[in-house]
Amino acid sequence: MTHLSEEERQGLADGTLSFERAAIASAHLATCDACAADVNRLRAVVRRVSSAPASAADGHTDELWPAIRARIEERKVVPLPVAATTRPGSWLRERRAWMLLSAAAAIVIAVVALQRARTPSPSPTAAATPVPKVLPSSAATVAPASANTRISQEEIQRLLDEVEMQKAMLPPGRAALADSDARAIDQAIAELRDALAHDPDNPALRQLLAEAVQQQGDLIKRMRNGS
Amino acid sequence: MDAFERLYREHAPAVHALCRRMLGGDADADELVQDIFVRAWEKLPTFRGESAVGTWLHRLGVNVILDFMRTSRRDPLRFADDTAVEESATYGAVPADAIAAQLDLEAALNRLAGGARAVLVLHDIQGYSHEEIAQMTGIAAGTSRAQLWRARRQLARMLDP
Amino acid sequence: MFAALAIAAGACGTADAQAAATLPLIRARPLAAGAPVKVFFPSGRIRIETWNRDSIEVRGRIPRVEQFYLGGDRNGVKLGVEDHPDGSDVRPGDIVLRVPRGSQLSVKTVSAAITGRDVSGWFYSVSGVIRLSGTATSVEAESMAGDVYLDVSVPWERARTGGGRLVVTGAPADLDAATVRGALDVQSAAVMRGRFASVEGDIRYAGVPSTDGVFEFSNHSGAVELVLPRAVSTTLELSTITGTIENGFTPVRAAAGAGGHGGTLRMQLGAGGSRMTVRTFRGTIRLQPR
Repeated sequence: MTHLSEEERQGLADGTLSFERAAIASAHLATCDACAADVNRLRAVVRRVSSAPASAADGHTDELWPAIRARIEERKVVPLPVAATTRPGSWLRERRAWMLLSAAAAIVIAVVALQRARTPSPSPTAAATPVPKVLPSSAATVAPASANTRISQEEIQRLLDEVEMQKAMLPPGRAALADSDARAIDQAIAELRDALAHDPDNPALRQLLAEAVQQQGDLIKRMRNGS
Repeated sequence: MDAFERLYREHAPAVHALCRRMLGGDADADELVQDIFVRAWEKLPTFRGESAVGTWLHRLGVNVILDFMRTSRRDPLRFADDTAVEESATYGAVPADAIAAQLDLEAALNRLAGGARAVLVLHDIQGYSHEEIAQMTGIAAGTSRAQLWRARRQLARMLDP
Repeated sequence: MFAALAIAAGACGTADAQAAATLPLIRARPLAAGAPVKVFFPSGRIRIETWNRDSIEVRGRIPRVEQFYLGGDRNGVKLGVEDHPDGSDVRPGDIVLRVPRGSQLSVKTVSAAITGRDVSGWFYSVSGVIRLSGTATSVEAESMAGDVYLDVSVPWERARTGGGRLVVTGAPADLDAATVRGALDVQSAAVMRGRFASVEGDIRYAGVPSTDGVFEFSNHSGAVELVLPRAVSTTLELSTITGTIENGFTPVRAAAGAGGHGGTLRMQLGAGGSRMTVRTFRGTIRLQPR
């Protein structure tokens, strides 16, 4: 009697044999105890291996997270605030993140304003007490305007990329909810950047762009919470 | 960072198991898990949702592990293209190296020959086809098939002598 | 008569089926005042109240097929209904949660409505409605797509919606409220410091700005409407890039912007004092007396 080849036995064990060959091979198993026992043994191995647990739930990998986070932080342009370990009180963390984003945008505004001569604002048509200008409150390090523009553009791009990443991690229904918001904000940012390209000295435009960037950051946080 | 940390906590145990199984033990698994997730953080902006995040992450993990195996000279897949099929002569007989007690699966996997183990993990646990394994590892699909059969035979002897 | 009996029998059958689908729930355990309470309740309705006891109590009904959990100790608890690993929707439940005063709540739902009275903390829903009232130490409420209604007396309040409506009344001293596409409606005389923003939703503020109050309004294409008392004391700076400014207080017209588009209007009403800054890209700015 001719026994089954190794290919046929392995193919029967993992179900990869073609329909016709499987039928012929199965017919042989009905008449050959040795081949039948061997194929069953292989089937048991395939079943056991393919149902191997995905992981051992021993918490060991939790210990690796701090080192991973540290390596990631080293690679970032703008470091995120320190993460709180418990949710109560994390509104402080979110608030610091908001202030950080506002400060980044405000640096652009402050530096461009310092670099160029300010054009006099139109005199109010009402006879009223002169109103003082409102400067951004978080202006900090002075740096060349071009460098800070780069920071702003990079920050915007980083946020856009993170929106896409967060959407990818949401279940489909929730991703759709976020999509409409993301599109509205993207469009606003695009219009503002276009307007700023034609009128870079306009402080109101710069502030509006900072607000739109803030909205982007808020949306990312909402999506994180929804995933 | 919150979402990425959640991604990590959800998938890290499975990725760690993948590293342990591919490498045949715990040595280097911790470091590789770190490398994989740092690489995932860097690559995330390019992920466009064409597969589930976990699938994408495992694929990236396999590539990192294989790179490590090649550069650390632990590459068990650096063997000549060998399409010879191991004919089994063991059915009905107890092999000479049979182990009396039944090993658990993880211990048995660790005892497999390196190349056979890597292919078994990639094919039977991770679900890659021989063609995909060939593309990832640089071996021929036929060699991948032969290594898989060898691994199953070795496991069968260890798990059910 | 037979038709009426048939209807009654049908109604009983339906009610029995519904009752059979949920199980009564009652759990309680000690919890210290001020301890954190973390809640995940995906679907249905959750109501939260405070009481003068050092314990937490959960009462209500949960679908029999869903898994409720309550864990922790008197220094903090976690409770809720387990999410499905396959991502399928969790069936709705209905619970009332009673927590000690001063508990720090973190409540997250998917579609469940959240209602809370005298509660502080973080409240988040993907699409559920959030309604909070009473007195609190701090409130943060966000819904991706649902409406948010806040009527809280609180030193600090932060509220966000995407497409949902955001309505703020009560007495928040420091208020940060923003929507993306939903309408933002603020009616409060207690705000000392306010930041209000939207991208496409209309913003409406009706209140009495307090002396030294600082208010900032920002909108891209939605309108900003300020409804103020005739005798208000405030300094206004209104500017729009391409929109229009409608001044219902005085005959003064806004100065046109560059190229004849948009406009700027700066003026002081009464003794000045509070400061209100409004910026839009193309949304209309309206100043209306009450």
